[in-house]
Amino acid sequence: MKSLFSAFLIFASFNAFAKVDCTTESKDKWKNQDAFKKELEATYKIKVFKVTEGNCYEIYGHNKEGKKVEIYFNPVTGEKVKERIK
Amino acid sequence: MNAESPVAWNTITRLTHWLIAIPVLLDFFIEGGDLSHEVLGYIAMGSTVFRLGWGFISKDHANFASFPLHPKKLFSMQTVHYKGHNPQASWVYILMWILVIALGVTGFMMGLDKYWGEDWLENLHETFSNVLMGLVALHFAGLIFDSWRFKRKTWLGMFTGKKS
Repeated sequence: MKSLFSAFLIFASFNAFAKVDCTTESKDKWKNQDAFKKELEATYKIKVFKVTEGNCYEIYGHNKEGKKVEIYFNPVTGEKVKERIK
Repeated sequence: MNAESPVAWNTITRLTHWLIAIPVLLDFFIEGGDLSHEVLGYIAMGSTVFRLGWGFISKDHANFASFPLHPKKLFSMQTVHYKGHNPQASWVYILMWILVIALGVTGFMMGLDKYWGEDWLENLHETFSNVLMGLVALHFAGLIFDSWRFKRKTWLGMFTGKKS
């Protein structure tokens, strides 16, 4: 009984939805969104561009091969932090 | 269905329970979009579809016919102990199964070109998963309550099949 209860507490204390973190720098050091989007449009067809909770610029779209991509970028350096290709 | 018969849940019912429960719990912690998240999600959904079918063909308490679903019972305090699910549990489990399927469907849609990156769909998927976790909490609370109220080991039902 006790173990059942503590198992539940441990489980409940986890934070849901592991998220991708990209930077801890303040927003004034971030690249300009529109300029960065333009930069990316050379390589990707962007469907959705957003700023995530983990301080990333994130795009959903297609790459040059027409494959669906989801990519997280460091908004300060513009480096890819995580990429998913479908 | 002899009242003294100790086994409440047979092997198929128990196996189905874990094939839903384990992938669902893991998926809550594995980031959406990862292949493992998708594979686990489909295992959970497939097992749920199986469970729903099982609810029509099973010959014991796993059959929906033996779920005490009458709304009147839902809001009355339990005075008898049910060998199968009690009324509150029956409703919680049906809602959980619906949510697992809804999660599978919305998860699949998220991978389609048309809905790629759509926030509303992602939020819907997350909302479903949070509601499902709320129901998991109720499920645990119910188990603890039933074990205390009837001085039995209700949770053993899903391990050994016997509740005491």
